Amino acid sequence: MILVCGGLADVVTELVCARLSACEYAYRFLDLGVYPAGFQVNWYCHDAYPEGYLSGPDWRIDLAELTGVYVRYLGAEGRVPLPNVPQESVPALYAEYDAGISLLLEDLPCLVVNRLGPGMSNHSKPYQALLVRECGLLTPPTLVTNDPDSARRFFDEWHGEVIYKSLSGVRSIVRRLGPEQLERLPLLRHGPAQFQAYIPGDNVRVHTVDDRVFATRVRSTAVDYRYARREGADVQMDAVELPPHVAESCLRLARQMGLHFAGIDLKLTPRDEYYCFEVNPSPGFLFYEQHTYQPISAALADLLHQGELTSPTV
Amino acid sequence: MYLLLGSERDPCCSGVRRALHARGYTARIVENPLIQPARFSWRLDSAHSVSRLAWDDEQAEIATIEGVLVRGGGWIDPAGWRLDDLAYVQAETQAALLAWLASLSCPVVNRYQPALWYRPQLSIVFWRPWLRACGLLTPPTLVSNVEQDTLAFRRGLAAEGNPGAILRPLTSDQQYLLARDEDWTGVVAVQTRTPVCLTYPHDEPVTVCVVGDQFVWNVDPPADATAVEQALYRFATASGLAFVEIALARASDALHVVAVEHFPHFERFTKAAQEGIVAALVELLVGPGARSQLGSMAQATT
Repeated sequence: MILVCGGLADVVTELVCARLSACEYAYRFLDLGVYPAGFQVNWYCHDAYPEGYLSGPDWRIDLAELTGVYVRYLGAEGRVPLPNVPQESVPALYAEYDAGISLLLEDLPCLVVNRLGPGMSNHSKPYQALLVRECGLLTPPTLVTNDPDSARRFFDEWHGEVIYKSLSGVRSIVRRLGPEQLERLPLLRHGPAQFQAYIPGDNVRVHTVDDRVFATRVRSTAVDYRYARREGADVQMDAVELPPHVAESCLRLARQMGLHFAGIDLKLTPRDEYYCFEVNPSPGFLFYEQHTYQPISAALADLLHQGELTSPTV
Repeated sequence: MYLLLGSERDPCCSGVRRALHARGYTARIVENPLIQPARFSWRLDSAHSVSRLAWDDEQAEIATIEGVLVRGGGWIDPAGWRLDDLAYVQAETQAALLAWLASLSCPVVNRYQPALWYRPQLSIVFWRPWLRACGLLTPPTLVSNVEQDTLAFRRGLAAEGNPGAILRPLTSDQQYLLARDEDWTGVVAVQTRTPVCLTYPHDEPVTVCVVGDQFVWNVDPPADATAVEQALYRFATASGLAFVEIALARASDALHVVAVEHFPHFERFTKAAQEGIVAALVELLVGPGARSQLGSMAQATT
């Protein structure tokens, strides 16, 4: 039996559920938007894997029956407001709910896509860059600094072809460093920022599903194609084959991070080099599947159906 | 120079600094090396990782930093910050510091992995897979929002002669002894809001710091506690922690791990134990095995 944990309003979770249904793979849905309301959770652990059950409005599954779990955690915005709870208590309750689910999933012997622990490198892009280097992919020349002079030197060294973006998992739009930003460099003294040499070329989004690789080439004139329309730029997406060594590096990277499913952001330069920017442990792949018709969700459904006994990693 | 990341008020940092000075080494306590008055600069590409850290009064290129003790996560003083800006700059600082520490080729105690770095306080339930893999027991635990199963758990405890249970929220280090009927009534009420985590009660715990391959017990350990030292060492190694505090207690006639602190609470230890911890930390940082024990992720750091 497959368990899907996520939000009803989340289109990615919705696609996973739809694909499981289309494949006629039985699954149960734990709606994290309302959890724990309407659900029963009961698990016991001592010196072995957790034992117990989960139940919903019209179903109950023993934890031992699970072959695979797909989970996409929700932010506060994805949840139904808690009735009769003081506003200041809400974040603590949400944290307790998520901890209960993640700690259970962390310790289950079945396949979990993905456990929370391995994906936490996503909170630090330079940490991921260190992992990327170990897997044979290129990482862009990067400067992390709180020193305005160092930032200015880096800017000059790359002839002004420099972008800046967040270091952490906080979503940010990648932007070029221009005169307006240069004037604000003295503010760096209050905290570090990340600058990178601008890498020309096309973005390539790679989804790895266990040992399968789906690559999408994105052609856009926007610096950050995710926000192309906002900049008045077009986006064209095509399924592509990666060179074998690049595909193998992507698989190695996902494996090394303990991710059964990953979204890896690459850039293909005019010199046919592949640079890697980051790895998303909970990729929103709907956008790419819709544009290229690659069977990403079908591969994910097959993986969840087949399952596997894995040693939980943290 | 040795960099001690933490507060001047942290007795561990000041103790290690004193001990390093006594042995002729230079050491500096720094709360956050990524904000003023520090000037931090780290260049990273496919083949190189080069960083520099300087202050107004001196410049220490990273080649001269011989080791790092990590006692804090580079927190930022909230004074003067808007709440949302503070959250952002804090996240950015933590992200940079985690990666930079991972990149250093010198000994770093502890070189945290992200799952630990971003969760400075973790329930014992989190550590169970690692502890179990190393042959260490944790107290039987129930997580439930089902009244009848919770009350069955209570009956099981009572049948084994236990005086009650411990209620331990998964996201805080607080714990409450459930001994009276009204305590259990309260638990059932809480369960209407959230699943609760209940564990077996245990005796007064004894704590030990594993520092490299040294064990510093807070008080004289029970005879069978020393028998688990090898398992504790395996656990510390498996979790990548060269410095970790572990609490052990007897429950149901067996010795269980009841808490793991990957940011050890040095101040909770006796003076004698604190001296032992400091000595072990200094040995870990400057001793001949320091580099081999505390490897980095840097492929080519210059």
